[in-house]
Amino acid sequence: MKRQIPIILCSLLGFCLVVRYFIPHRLSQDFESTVNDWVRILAVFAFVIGLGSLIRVHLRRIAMKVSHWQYSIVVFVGLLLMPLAALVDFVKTPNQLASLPANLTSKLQNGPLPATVRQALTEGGLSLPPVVTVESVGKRWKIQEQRQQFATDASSEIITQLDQGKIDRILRQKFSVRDLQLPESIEVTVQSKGRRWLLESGALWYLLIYQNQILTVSRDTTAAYIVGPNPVGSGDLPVYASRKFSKQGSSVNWLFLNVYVPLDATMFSLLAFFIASAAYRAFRARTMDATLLLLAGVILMFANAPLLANQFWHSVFGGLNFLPDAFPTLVKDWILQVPGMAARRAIQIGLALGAISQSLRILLGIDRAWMGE
Amino acid sequence: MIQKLLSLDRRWIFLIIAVVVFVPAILKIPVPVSTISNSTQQLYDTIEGFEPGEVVMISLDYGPSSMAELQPQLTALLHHCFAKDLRVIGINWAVFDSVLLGQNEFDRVARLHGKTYGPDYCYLGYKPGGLPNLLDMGKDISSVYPKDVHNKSLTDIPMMKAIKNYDHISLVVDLASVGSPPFWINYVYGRFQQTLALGVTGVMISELYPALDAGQIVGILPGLLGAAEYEYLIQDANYTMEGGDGATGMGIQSFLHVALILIIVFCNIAFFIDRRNRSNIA
Repeated sequence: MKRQIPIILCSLLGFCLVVRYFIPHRLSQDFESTVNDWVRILAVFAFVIGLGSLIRVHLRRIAMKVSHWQYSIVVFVGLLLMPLAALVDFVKTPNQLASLPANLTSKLQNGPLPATVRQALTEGGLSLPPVVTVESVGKRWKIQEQRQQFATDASSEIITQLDQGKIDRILRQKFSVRDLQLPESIEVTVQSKGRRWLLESGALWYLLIYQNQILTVSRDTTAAYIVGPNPVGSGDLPVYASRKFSKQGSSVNWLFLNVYVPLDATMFSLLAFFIASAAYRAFRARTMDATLLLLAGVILMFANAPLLANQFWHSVFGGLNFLPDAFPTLVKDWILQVPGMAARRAIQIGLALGAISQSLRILLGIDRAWMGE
Repeated sequence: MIQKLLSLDRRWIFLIIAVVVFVPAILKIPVPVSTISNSTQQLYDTIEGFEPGEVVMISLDYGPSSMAELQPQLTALLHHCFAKDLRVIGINWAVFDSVLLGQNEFDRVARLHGKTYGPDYCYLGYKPGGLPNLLDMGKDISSVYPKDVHNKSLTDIPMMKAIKNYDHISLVVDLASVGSPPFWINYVYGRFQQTLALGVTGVMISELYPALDAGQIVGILPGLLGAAEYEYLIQDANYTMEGGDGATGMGIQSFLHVALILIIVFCNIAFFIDRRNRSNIA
C-alpha cells in the first residue's frame, strides 16, 4: 500500500493533466489551476526542506570536525547575514511608498516643492534630496532634482585631445558649453565609452560626445512621481519613489552587489582558464571528426571576436571585392543555421521521443526510480 | 622538446589567459562591432516595429555568474524599450538570485529615460512554482504575482490595470543562462502563441537556432556579442548615448579568442611535428 498509493496518484494526476490539455472546457481549466496552486505550495516546501537539509549537513560537518569544516561556519554566516540585513532594512524604513493626502494635492504646481507637501511626503517615509522641483508630466506630477541638458558645438580638435583619466584645467576651459560651468572645485574625469566620451564629476555630470559632433550634458536625475489626474482630483495619491529617493533595502542591496555578485561571478569566471587548458590538450586534429570540430570551433571563435571578424578581416581581406565585408559572420551563421541546426534537431527529436517514452513508463508505473526504487 | 610543449604545464596557459583578460579589462579597450548577426537584427526590428504604450515582458533567468554576458543585453533592451515609450514588466521566472540585479537595472535605465515605476514599468520578481507559473500567467498574471517586489498589489500599479495576461503583452524576452528557454517556447509560445525572443549565453545559442528557424522565437541575442550588436543598433538610432558594457566586453572577448585560437594552432603544430617524428622513427 505504501508503494501503490503514490503510483496510483501519479498515474491518475498525470493522465488527467494530459487529457485536460485536449479539453478546453472551463472545468478542465479550473482543475489545472488547482493543480498548479498545489505545485506552487509544494515548491515553497521544497525550499524549506532544502534549507533544513543544508543546516543539518553543515551542523554535522562542524560537529564531526571533518576536513575543511571551517567552511561550514561561513555557510551559516552567509545564511544568517542576509535575512538579518533584510530585517534591519525593514525596521529602518517601514514604508517606502508615501501617500499624499488629497487636501495637499491642490498645492502642487510647476516649480519648487511646497514645504507642506514636502513635510507630508517625508512623514510618509519618502527620503527627499534638499532641493527638488515639481513638474506636471501628463497625468502625473514628477518630483525631481534639477535636470539639465545642454548642447554645444565642441570642436573635433578638442575631442581629439581627450584622453582617459583626469581632465586638465586647459582642456576644461576649452569646452564651450552653453549655460554650463563645469564644477571647478570637483575633479572631472574622462572615460572612453565606445564611440563616446563620458565626462564625469562626482557622479553628477555626464558629458557625452556623440559621433564627434554633438555634445550633451545632463545631470543625473532622481525622481519621485505622484500619479493621478491633472489637475489633481480627490483622494489620496500614491507616490512612486525612484531608488535614490528611498533607502529601503540598502543593506541587502549592498551585500548582494558587493559580496554575492563578485563571488558568484568569480567562481564562474574560473571556467575561462580551464577551458583554455582543456582546449590546449583536447583540440587536436587526431581524426577527421576531431578536425571538423576543431575547424567549426575556430571559425566560431573568429567570428565572435569583432577584433578578428571586423577590424582584422577588413584590414587583410578588405580589398578582395568578391568576399563580402561580413564574411566571417556569414560563415558563422551558416554553420549554426545549417549543419549545427540539423544536428541539433536530430538530438532534440531524439530527446523528445525519449521523454515521451520515459513519461509513459512513469505514468504506467513501470519506471519507479522517482520513488527512490 | 616537442613532448615538453605538448605536455605544457597548465599554469603557463592560465598565465596567458590572465594577461589577455586582465589587460583589456583594466584598460577598458572597447572593440565596437560593425556587422550584426541576423538573430540580433530580427529582435531589434521586432521591438522597433512596436507602437508607444505596447508592453514588453522581460524575464531574467540568470544569476550573477552569467551577468557579464546577459546584463549588457538587459541594459540595451531596456534603453530601446524606454526610448520607444514601451511599457516594461520585469520578472524572474526561473532564478531567484537575480531579482536585485534586474530591479536595480530597471530603476537605473528608467531614470535615465525619465520613466516612472508604476505607469511605465514594474518589477514582479520571483515566485516559486516553475512551470505552473508560466501557464497561469497565460490566464491571469495577478494569480501568480498578486504583488510586486515592493509588496504593492498589482491592482494598485497603474500599468497593470490594463494587463491581465499574455494577450496584453506584445513581446516576452527571456534572458537566460539556465534551461528556461525550452519551457517558454514549448508552453508560452506553443500554448498561447505569445511572441517570444531570447537573450542567452554563448554556449546556448546552437540549441536554440531550430526554434528561431521555425519562427517560434523572433530573435536571439547571442551572448556578449549580441549585447554589443544591440548596443551598436540602439546607439546608431540615437536611442541612448550611454556607452554599454557590450563594446568593452568585446575587447576582452576578442583578445581572449585570439589567444585561444593561437593556443589551438600552436598545440596542433606541435602535435603534427610529434606525429611525423614518431612515424619517421617507426
